[in-house]
Amino acid sequence: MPDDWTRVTALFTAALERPASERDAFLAEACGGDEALRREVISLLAAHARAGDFLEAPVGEAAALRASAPGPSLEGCLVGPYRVEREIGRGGMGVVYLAEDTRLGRKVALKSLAPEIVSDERRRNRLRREARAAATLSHPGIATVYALEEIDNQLLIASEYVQGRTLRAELDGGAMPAAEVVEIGIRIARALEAAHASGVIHRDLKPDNMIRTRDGGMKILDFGIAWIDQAEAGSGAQPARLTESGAVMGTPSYMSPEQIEGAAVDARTDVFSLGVVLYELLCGSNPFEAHTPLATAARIMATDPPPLAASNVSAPPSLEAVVRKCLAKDREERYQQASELVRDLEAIRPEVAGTGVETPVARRQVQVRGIGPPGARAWWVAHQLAIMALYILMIYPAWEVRGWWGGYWGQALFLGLIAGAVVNGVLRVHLLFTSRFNPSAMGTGLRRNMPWVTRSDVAVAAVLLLAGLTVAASHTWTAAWLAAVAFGAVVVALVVEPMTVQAAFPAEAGGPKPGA
Amino acid sequence: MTSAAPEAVTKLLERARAGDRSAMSELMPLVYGELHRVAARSLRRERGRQTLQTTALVHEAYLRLFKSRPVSFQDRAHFLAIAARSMRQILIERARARGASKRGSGRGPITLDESLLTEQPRPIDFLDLDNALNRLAALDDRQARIVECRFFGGLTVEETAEALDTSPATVKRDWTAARAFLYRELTERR
Repeated sequence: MPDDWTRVTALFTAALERPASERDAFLAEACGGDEALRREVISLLAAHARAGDFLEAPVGEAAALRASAPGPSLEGCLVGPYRVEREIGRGGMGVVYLAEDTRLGRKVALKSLAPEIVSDERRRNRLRREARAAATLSHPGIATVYALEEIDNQLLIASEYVQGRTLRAELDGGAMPAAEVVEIGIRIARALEAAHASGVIHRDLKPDNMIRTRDGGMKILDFGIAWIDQAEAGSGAQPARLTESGAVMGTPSYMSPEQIEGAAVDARTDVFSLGVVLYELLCGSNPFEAHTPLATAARIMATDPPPLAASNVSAPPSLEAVVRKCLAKDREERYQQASELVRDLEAIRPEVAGTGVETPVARRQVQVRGIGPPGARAWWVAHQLAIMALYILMIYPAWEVRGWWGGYWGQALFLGLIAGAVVNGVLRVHLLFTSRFNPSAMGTGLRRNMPWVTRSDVAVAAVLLLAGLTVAASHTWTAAWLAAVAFGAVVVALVVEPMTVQAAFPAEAGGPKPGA
Repeated sequence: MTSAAPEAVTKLLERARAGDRSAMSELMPLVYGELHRVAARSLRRERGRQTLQTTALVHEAYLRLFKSRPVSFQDRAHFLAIAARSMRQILIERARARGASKRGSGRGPITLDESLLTEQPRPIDFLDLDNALNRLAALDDRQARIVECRFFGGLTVEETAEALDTSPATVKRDWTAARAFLYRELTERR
């Protein structure tokens, strides 16, 4: 019997891989007259077709999803004195809107807390207490909490509306130079110092709630809100976040070991989380992040992040030591206060000075190998696309010239252009693909392909120039156009492109390379 | 806190991995007990309103059992499979208890907990599912265990593959076949 079932499964799987119209014929043949077997597989196929997402959502999971569904949007509504303009963010705790406080005529960030978070009276009380504490904080590095409003049974927190880019958004551009990371670290740590002095712990520091303001400062968002995860801490050690709303809260990537254990947290938890952020800024990826929240939590508990050098980041050892001290599993071994961290980071400042953003040489020292600043890469991509578009456009005048010239040489000229443009285009598309999907191979790709890109550029330019010269007498304007493009292409290929490549892929395109 | 000492659990896992069957049977109640505690507390906390999230429960039980001690990759996978099986037992027991208190003898379709299943196209009769799963186990034990891991344990395809020592492709294939089998059993052969 089990053997039969193995066969049934195999046939069922094989039949599913075929289009529905061919399945009957396939089974008739594969079952070879075993009518019972054939009927069994067909009945399974029918069940499969009707099963929909039967069992696909693990038991209990479906209900959890439903519970976390957001309430109706407040966009366009007038809630108490607040005129809600638009949604600017959403997370496990609720939805954040940009709103105007009509009494004062100022913009605020209005956070509407998810109903299931505030349904419990004890939590509400705790929330009131914490918001009161957070509202006492007044520091340029902290988004000020203005008010806690309870309107129509909704709980809303109005706070300073900060314009700028989150560090999460900046991280999309890859790792940052050490000097910049040190500056960010100092600013955030100073803000933490002020908050901790007032007895307020953030508990949920991550790149998503650190914003670089338009004037270049840093601000921490969401003080006095993040703590709600820890509600009911009275019931002892438990990783409340994981169970209560793991699906909503995302991963525990920035949690401290004591938070994961569910122990009481203090200022040193913020130090750990800041350490994770600094590490991520330096090397471009979170040292603990794994595929599942559990695996991430396990890494936070048990694994030390790899040395920065393993990610080809050459941060000064002193900076790495500071970050590691933040990341100590045992909080007794971390910086006990944010002020100590500020002091150590300030001591490093002169050492990393000069590795600032402005100097490409310095940038090369800290950049993840092979990847340049996002702006330069965008230029490089635009360059590739522009050249390919130009060559495609040049097919038209070349076709005309072929007609005017005629005969064997006209054909040869035209085909020569096509051949050069195709080789060039294919190589460029290949490089675009590599830069996007296989950046670690970019160095090899550039070394191997760039000489041929340049050669085909020159070949195409030569053909265009030749075409221009041959028709110069009869078609002056076309000739001028062809010649201009030809000269332009040569200059671009020999002068402009090497510079673009150098800027976009500083570590790979020659020049001084760290350890390579 | 009556939690089993992590050392004991780790030892048992190691023995179980080495093929020691008695270790497995000693381990089961430990994991089961821990899961039970976590699940009960979680339900109490939410007053049955929401979020009996299997994945979260299984993972929390794991964290509680192992606290800060590192556990090998294989042991973790093994643990997840055992936890998934425990989860099945817990849920079936709850279904039985509910059925008994609601309908006396337990006749008629019994669903685990309406609030947990509202998103399913129709309420699943857990006792029927359990029986069907036993029939499937007789045909193909691995397929039944895959269902345990995926549906009762909330594990991903990859985690399931790890736990059962097979490839994700096999898990996907067997999962599809098992789902079709169970669906047919539950809808046609009453």
